[in-house]
Amino acid sequence: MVLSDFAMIAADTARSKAYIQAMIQGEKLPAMCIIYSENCKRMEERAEIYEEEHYSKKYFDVDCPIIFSLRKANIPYILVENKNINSEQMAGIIGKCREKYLIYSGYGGEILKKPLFQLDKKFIHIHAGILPEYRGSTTFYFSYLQEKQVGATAIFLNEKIDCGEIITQNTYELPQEMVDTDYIYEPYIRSRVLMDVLNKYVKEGELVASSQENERAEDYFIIHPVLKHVALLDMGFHEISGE
Amino acid sequence: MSYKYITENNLYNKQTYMYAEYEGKRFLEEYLKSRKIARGMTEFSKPENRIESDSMVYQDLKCIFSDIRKGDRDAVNRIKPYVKTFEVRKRLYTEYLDWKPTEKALFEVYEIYLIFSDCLLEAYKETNCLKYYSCLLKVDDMLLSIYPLLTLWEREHLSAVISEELKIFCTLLEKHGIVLGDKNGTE
Repeated sequence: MVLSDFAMIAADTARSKAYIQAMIQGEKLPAMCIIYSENCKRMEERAEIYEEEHYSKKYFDVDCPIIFSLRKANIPYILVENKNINSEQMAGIIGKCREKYLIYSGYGGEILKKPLFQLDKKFIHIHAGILPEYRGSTTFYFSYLQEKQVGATAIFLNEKIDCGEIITQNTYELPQEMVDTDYIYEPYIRSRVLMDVLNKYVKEGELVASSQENERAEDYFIIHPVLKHVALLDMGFHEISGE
Repeated sequence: MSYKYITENNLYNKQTYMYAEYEGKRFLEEYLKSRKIARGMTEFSKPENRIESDSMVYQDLKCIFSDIRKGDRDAVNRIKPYVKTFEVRKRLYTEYLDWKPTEKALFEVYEIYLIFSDCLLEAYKETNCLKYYSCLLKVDDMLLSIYPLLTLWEREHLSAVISEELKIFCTLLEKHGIVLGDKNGTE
């Protein structure tokens, strides 16, 4: 099923791969995709030489190039040689999109600026934490250490970080086996919440969101590596080989 | 491998701590070793006479510290903007206007970072929220990165802060069932 109200804005990241593969697997496809990168040619080359493996990966295939997935699923895409989401070039392209909802999967640390919010679009962002309690960075680890659970929340972006209206959210068990949390498991749980959003849209015909209760909000910043190691060891990460 | 976050002056070579690679228990052991060395360095020094900073920020942090210790929950909220500005700029300045450092503000008044560490310790004890402990680890990294520049009094103060930091670290290890090679104790 092609969702004609949805387009995707995809950086060349593991998260974008997780999103696109989840949408293809769940048969809820965006009408088109805007890929932005500083090296589009390299992305195309990777898609050309990629040889698909004939067994499925448990979460998603982080090696499968974005363009390969899009071509295979016949999702139209445009390539923008620009890594800056807030550039005039990107604003011009986004402004011309026909789709109302834009699934945003940008580069880490990017913050959308005011001109993009004046384009009459709804940017859907999946934050890797339960909101409003876990705003900010590396909340996956903080949440695990403090509550032994991880979660993700879909919001409509606004100008304040992680403060947008909540569309849906969910919590997840930790994987039983060792898996890269930053590049596999965290993007994976975000992709599950994205699918919840799309399923909700298909079922209800619209996306209703509710504002956050700021009284419960807490801002987090990049977790110190000592705490990250405590979290990973508690999750069952084994020793580095040779130790 | 040694603990790599204290090897250069962090006020100038800012640590982002982004995408820190997983290095196993050995990383925690190196952290612990470096902290224990720092804690032990001032054991036999004598505190010197000192003139307390009269900067706006130092006095405010001192007040916040005292209020948190008295159990004033609102004082924890007053520390939050300092956490944010330190996390973003990796520095604390002597003076702010709308949370931007003023033109004449200085960022190498180490007493400010020390009283900030005290506030973070108290905020963590009051709330159990790890964002304060995470920030404390970064502030202490910074102070250890400029250790030779500290006065004797500042070293004594840092040593006391690190003792508290390590107690929390050991409690966390115990809570999460992690046993390190050289035992977790702070003794």
